Amino acid sequence: MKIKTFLFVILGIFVSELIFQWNQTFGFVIYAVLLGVVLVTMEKDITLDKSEMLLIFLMIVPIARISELFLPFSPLWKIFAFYAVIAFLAIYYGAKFWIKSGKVKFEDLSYLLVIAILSVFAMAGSEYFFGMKNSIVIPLVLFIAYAEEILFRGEIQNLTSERYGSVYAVFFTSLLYGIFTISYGFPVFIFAFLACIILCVIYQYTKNIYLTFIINVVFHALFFTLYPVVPLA
Amino acid sequence: MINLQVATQISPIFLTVTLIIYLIIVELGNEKMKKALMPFVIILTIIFVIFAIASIYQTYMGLKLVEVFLR
Repeated sequence: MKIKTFLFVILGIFVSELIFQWNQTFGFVIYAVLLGVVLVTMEKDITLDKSEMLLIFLMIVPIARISELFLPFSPLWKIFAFYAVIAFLAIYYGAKFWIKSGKVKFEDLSYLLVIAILSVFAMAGSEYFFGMKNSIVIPLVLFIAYAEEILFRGEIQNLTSERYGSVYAVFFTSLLYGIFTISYGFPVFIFAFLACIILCVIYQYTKNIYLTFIINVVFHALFFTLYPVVPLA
Repeated sequence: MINLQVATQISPIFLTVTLIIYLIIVELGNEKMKKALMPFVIILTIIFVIFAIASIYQTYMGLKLVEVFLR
């Protein structure tokens, strides 16, 4: 796959996301068509190469958007389910295509267990000691960081870096992450794009996904504290 | 507590049609297509089932409320 095709797919996701913000029905149709077309174009060869794997990972964002639309939950649980879809697909494809995120395996399910245990302790502590309401945000932040790190750093950035080089990898991953957050508004898009550039550069230099995971957790915690974009249930 | 609220602008028919089209692609496509598309289809099926159960539950609760009201 040439770099132009890759850019074209990202542009397609961007346009679909903009249309999605304007009208959900049109956005849904365009996302579904984009996904179908991209997957059907892959049918030429029998084996999957790296660029086709990358295409599949790019399609995780549209499928999560489509799924989110029909989830009959309150906003906070919707976000949980949205990231659960992303984490499931990222772990599934990561395992299927033998993609390792960083020096050590991060997509191992045992980390999810560690996150769950940590979250329960943090929730119990915050409710008991500080009387905090909506302590469900704590596991949410951890889970968001986990899902995002696996998909964006561990898989998309790694594959783009192998295929097109580190500069393109940093730029495209950040652009995709920006598009991913555009539903919160254009200022958030710029903010997320710049923040993701920092994360991607750190990952590109260190190849340590734990470091970016911790930075992502801190970033989201500060983000939710300073700019409460999530309407708490 | 998970609160149920089925309030989307978009008709669930779109989801059904998309799911059917993807299933057709999976069925007609080669091994690679199956590998690539199957998890997406699984996710959409789960969402479809959740949506259907929530709709049925809400309809049932609505009918129950009407019944109480009529009494």
